[in-house]
Amino acid sequence: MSERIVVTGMGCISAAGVNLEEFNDTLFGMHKVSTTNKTSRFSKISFSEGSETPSDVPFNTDERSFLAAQVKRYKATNYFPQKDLKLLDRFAQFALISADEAIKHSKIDFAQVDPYRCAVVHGTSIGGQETIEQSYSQLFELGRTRTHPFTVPKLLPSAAASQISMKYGIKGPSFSTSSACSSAGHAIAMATLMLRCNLIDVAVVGGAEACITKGNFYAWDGLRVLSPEGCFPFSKKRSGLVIGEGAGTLVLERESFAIGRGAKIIAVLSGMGMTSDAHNVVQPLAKGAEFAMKAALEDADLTEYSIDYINAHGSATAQNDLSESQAIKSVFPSKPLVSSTKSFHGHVLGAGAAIEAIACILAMQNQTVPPSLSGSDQDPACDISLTQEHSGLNILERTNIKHALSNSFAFGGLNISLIFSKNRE
Amino acid sequence: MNNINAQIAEIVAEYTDSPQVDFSMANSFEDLGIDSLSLVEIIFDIEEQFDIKIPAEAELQALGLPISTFTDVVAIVQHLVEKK
Repeated sequence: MSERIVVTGMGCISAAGVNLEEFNDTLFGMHKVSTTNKTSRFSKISFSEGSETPSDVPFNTDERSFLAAQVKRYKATNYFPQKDLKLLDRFAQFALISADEAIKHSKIDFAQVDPYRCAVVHGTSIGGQETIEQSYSQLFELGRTRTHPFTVPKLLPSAAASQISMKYGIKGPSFSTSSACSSAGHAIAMATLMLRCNLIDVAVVGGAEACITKGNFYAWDGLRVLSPEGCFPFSKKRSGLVIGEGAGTLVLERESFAIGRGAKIIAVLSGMGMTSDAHNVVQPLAKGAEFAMKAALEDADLTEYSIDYINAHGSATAQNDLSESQAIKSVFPSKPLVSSTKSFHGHVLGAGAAIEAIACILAMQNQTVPPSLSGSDQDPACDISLTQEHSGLNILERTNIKHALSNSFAFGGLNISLIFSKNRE
Repeated sequence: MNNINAQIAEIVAEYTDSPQVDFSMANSFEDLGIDSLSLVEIIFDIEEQFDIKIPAEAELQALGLPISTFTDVVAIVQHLVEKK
């Protein structure tokens, strides 16, 4: 058996908070959410004529509107000097913010380790969407004949990985993974494989996304999957997904390396399973999800009775919720507690798997399952042990969580399940 | 000429930490602390300001117009503005 791979640092930014502490408070604080105000963490946005970026409220009801899970009150210049921003698309900004937090959390000093034994693997579904749309607007709307010379280095999906490696002098393998909503999960998996075969000692892994843009929202709207009301996974009243933005980053290490440098081990990445439906670009297959979860259990050397909490993909589309419920029921006879934290942070596409991995680890630390903010109207067709809010209050399920599984199932049938476990006492 | 010189100096000054120096005295942009990435931006800004298209380096060389110093850039812009 290969060496255990451990988590030593975490950082995130999303609609559910601009750092780990805020994210933890949002998911696990005993905050009250009024049943009539469930969409309050998401914003109504519209795109005015000639603008590819969204306008905040006051929202003009004459314009076409969308619901989005934006990072609240985000101001790039609070985080970066103006000079640096010329080379940073919004998705790379989020990647750096979450990476900074995770690296600080892990207390690793990259100047004190072999930089060629360190890696960055950071996923994104789309990459520099805002930069792409801004340059297209210049060319096709304004009739300009040139775009800014940094357009290419800003929009590359690998820009986030490059920026993190440059900032910290990480000189081993650095690249981006892209598999739609599973991108960050595949990033974590690829880094874990490199760690397990002793190619590297440390990896900065995760995902980032920033595509609350006119072109992207009109494109998603064309698929008829965007909810105008909110994100209600596995609920009778679900009406589609809410796209979010943000990033999540974790620091992974070989256990002996982490112990050798005196790092605090937060959790163990004990298993991963990856499958492809090989079926349809948007319609998921329960079998693909089922085999991904089974593969993760096998990889972790755990049985179907070992999992205490499942952070579902739970995108709140009818297709996903039904097939994922079916897959969970067929794999887990003991019906472990399930929730979808997308109801807090939205569907952060290529960053989702990293943010939800962090939610799993926090659930183990808090010994509490975060709820789905989906009311008490569970869809009987989704017959799983859903942890929900009741009567306008978030009921947090307190339980001893030793092993938590996180699912990400992407368009095109690209599935990944990750299992995180508590470190032995 | 002086006007072009002054306008380009103003653009270049934004990319260097020592805006007080006489750019025409510098041997190269590197001496001014301007790297190749910043030079690309400077060329973009100049193109925008003068509404010209500065040709690729190989093309400039064929025309006998090097582009390694501030004075080179002023000469190229002067040439292109006159041609307009």
